[in-house]
Amino acid sequence: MFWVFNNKKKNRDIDPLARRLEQKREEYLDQLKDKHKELVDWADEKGISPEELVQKGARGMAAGVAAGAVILSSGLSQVGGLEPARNNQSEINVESSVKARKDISGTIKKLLGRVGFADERKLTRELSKTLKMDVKEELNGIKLNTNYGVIGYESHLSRYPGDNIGSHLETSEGKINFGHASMAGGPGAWGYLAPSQKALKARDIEREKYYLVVQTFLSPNWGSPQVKNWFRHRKMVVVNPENGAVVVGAIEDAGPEPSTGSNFGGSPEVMEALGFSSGGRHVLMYFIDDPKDQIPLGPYGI
Amino acid sequence: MNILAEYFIKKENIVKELKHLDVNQNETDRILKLSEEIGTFKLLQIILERLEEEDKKLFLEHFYSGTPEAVTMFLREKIENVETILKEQSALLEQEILNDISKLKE
Repeated sequence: MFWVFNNKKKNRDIDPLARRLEQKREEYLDQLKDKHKELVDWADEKGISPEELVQKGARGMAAGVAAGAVILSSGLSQVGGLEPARNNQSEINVESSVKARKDISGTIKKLLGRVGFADERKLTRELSKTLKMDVKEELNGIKLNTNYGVIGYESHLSRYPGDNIGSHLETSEGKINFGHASMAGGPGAWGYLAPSQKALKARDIEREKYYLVVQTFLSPNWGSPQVKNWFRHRKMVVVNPENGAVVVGAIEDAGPEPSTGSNFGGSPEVMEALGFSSGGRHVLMYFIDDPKDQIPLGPYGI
Repeated sequence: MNILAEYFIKKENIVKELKHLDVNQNETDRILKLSEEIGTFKLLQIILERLEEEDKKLFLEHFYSGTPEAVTMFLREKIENVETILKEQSALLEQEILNDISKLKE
């Protein structure tokens, strides 16, 4: 056996190169830490090392990397020129990037099979443990009319006055996957996310992209402006019990009308991430207690 | 992999160069990972140098737990011609790494 291993094809010894690069890596890291104490302080606050910023940040961002790369590449073509092939390369990377994120759908399906839907307190406790976030069926004394029901496939929301489908889908990935979804005639129940395109912030874009619709008006707590405002931007976790897919979204609209037969709504991005190409399917939806706003919106992976 | 490493650190030429040296896949992956890490540290430094104090923390938050779209929007808002700057710096870094690889031939 030993002989076999030793007779594996011996490639060129790259240890000197690896050592040189490791040394360079340390030099760059030291420079970064020396010149930017704020990074070290920020990482300290988060309880991570500066090295982990790169590694863990990568994991958190993996699912959307290519979308961002496409945005950057389109920007490059405006300011400096970039070969079109990079777009294709970036789009090809979507799949590998998504795969790089640990898929938890199997774990979620097993959890749902074991716990069932009847005991919501137990279910949210188990989901909290698995998803490493505080999942609640009731938060700050406020509940929805139901946490299990039918979700509708919603249109894109207008984020600011004059927003249209062209300005809406900045990425070619977005155009391919979500361009078929129409644009709502106006904003959500709380008005536009931004007063103008110029004022639109990254957070607004994320909130519309992964927006959720809930029947706020059927909540047992409904009836005051405070409760209405409480719902706005509230983060929720959506679970597709059929395939175990999990998405974190933000409440940005009220509905659907009870006559539609749906209990919730999801943006095209939410629905596709859950594995739905149309509405009318059952999901579980629970609040997320995230007072420091640390849990990112979008498809969930560990 | 983060957006900086994914988009700006060009790996094709590094892979090509390593192939010429008959380096196996595991070792190629090892070199690519180091290249990505070096590139990310370098680009983070360039970005942080160009951001106002109050924006640095926000950027780190986006970079750590935001989406690529959020990072992109933020950088575009805050740094003029950010893509060109990062692309130029990455090209210099790539050349450095290629030079290091070519030393193996000597």
